[in-house]
Amino acid sequence: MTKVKAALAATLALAAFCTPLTMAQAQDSYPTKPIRLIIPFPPGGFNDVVARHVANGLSERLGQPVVAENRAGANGNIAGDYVAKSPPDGYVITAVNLSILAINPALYARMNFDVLKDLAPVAGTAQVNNVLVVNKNLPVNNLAELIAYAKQNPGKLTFASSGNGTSPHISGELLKQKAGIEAVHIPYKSAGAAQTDVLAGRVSMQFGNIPNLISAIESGDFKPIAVTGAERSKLLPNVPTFKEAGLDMTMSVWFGISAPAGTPKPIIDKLNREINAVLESKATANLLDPLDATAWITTPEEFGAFIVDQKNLWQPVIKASGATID
Amino acid sequence: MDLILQGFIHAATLENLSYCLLGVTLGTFVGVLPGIGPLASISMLLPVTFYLDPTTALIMLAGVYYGAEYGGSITSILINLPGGTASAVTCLDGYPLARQGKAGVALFVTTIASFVGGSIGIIILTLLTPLVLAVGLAFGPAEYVSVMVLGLLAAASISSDSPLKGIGMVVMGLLLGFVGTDINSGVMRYTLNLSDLFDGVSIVTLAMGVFGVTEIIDSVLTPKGQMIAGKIRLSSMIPNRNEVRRSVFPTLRGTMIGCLAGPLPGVGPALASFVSYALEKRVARDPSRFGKGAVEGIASPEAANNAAVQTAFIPTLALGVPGSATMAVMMGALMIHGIAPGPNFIVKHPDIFWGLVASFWIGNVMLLVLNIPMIGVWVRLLQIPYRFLYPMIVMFMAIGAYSMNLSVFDIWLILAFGLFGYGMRLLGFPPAPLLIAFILGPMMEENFRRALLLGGGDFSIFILSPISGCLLALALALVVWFVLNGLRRRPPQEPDGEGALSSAE
Repeated sequence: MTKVKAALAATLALAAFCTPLTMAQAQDSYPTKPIRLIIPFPPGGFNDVVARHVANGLSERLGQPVVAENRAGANGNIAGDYVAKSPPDGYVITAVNLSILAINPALYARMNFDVLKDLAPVAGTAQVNNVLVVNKNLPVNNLAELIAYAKQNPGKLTFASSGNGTSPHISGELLKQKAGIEAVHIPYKSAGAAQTDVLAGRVSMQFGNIPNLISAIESGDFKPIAVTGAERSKLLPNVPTFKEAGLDMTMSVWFGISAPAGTPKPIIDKLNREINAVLESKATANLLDPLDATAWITTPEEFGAFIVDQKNLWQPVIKASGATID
Repeated sequence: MDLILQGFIHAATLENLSYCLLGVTLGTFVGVLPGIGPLASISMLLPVTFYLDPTTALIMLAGVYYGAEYGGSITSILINLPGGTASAVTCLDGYPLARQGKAGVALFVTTIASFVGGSIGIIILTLLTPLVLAVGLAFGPAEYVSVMVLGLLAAASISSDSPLKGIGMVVMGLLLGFVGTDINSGVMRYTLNLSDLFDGVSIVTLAMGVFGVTEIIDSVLTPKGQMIAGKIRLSSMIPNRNEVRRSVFPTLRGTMIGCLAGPLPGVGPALASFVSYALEKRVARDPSRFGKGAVEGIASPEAANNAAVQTAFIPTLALGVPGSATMAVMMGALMIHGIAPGPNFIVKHPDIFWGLVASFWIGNVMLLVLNIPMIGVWVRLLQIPYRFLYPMIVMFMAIGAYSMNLSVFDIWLILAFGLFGYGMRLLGFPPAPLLIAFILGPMMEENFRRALLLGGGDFSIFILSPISGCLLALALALVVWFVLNGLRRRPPQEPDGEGALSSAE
């Protein structure tokens, strides 16, 4: 018995001694095999396009293929849970965004993982702003008129979104709380379906991606009210920001890359450097400019602090809106 | 007219023609492989399009999309395995035809019907875009509910000798449709706390299970013998005069339904093929032939779903509102090039719009040219002994199911649905109503609650809207007609629906 114990102790000691050594070796040569980049959303959307672009750029720079895998479901929670429980060796990383890291924790009654404890921030990738549009027949032309209209006609305004907890939804909730107005939330399954009813005038207004809405704004079917960013959009230079229009409300939809918690710091730093190099390239600008998005350069620490800020910012907004997924 | 001509010139460059050919060929193969639908393949091709001219990119992706819609019917006919939802209807009569050794005829009819449906769909797309658009915008939540009530009624009557069993399967489909997160309240329903079920059951899983796996279990347990492949000569593929006569009007009626249903987001092609099948069964002189190899039963739904596939582009291109996930990915391909589909699209980018429309037609001709000679090859598939063919199919289904969400759970789900489907088959329950109710149920609920939200909880919105009111009246009339017909028909088996036939023709 003692023999067994001794052997066990020896093995453990050996293991304890060896592990840092092998890990250090692994970090120096990282990556030695293909990396999987999990995309928590279906193919084709903004999340997917940006993440795939980063995957391609990383493949070239790291000399190992970075394979993009779509694991959609539950607003990104399925992928988040999967990555949180993957080995923290730098060979599984995930695309993340506003929904997964800052909205879902407040929205979902149950989460199978802790976004702050189980995922380690690697780098931010891009930010994009939303625009608020109203149907052309709604008798308002700017934010002040919209707020006045809402106060004179209580219960009349409705706003469409692509689902509970999506950025168009929480933008609308934030507007309601900041401006002190009422508007009924009408959730849809996709941005497209939401847009149809706003175009037809059955729903009064919606927040949405500028590239998605710009054609209808140019044709006059939608009246743009304000953009959510800190600065005006290059695509809509004549549309004020919410701040300029007199309401203290700024928000952006953001995207980034995270790894399982416990991934060695040197690996995270290396990934961060390479991702930033990809983001600074001309190819990234070519991709993001038409989508009205901007590349976002951060250190892992900056990205981590930003996530905590955002989580604290949105938690009360979502709680006050009463939205929940249970 | 000038614009259309220019579109053809734009589409007929060597580059565009080759990408169109690549697209439709790939689409056909993707359609034939169970479970790997156009969505997956278009998404995989998306990164390639970064490097292409936007028109070329879209021509290729669109080719995959309508090619797959065609390819799906090939496996429906040959092995009772629908490639997609819309082609599930083609199984009902296509597979019996194949079992009678008429696989070649069935494939020939579907090719031609698809071509006619697709071509007329394109003409509608060319000439009537503004009109179709107006109709599309007039359809709000209340109108959707009413059109889906009509669709469910059609589904219940679709394939069963016993309407009660049909209704039973409709209810089963509705229940399966509830699984997942409710979009209005965020409540999880029937998810058993399994995160794999939070977004509900995928239609592909359900279709592969109740059609494909069921068929395989059935043929393993009760061997029916190798299918007669027939002689593969052109003469054995050409339908006889009777069959031609019987497919002409169904093709045209199917096309009409397809053109109307196409622009409805989410349901277009599937709804079109189910409704057109139900219509054919209603107007037929002898409805009992349906489900046993009626040519009408494949011509009409195939024409309908291909017409719908074409007119489904109208809301995507002219409103910037994609009707389905596949359309959303295609729109993404344009947006990466900085082109925003929407009300201004046709005016601002006439070259892309008309080039695309022209390429649709060229693509349909290519599908025709490609597929008529291929019929022989497909039919020869049936000569592969089942002990090789079936394991291959099972493998492809497993890959297809896994590739959707990279989840092993979906593979188990297919197996479960297969066992369930086999039980249903033993008891004589039809699978088609299950499938359509599964699609329509959740959308109906979603729109029903949305309509009430918008109407402030007032039910009169369903009757006061003129379109919705008319559709509901039509549904009511249909119910009354079913009941009267059922009562009248019970004692002697007299042929019904003659009046309807002459008026429809």
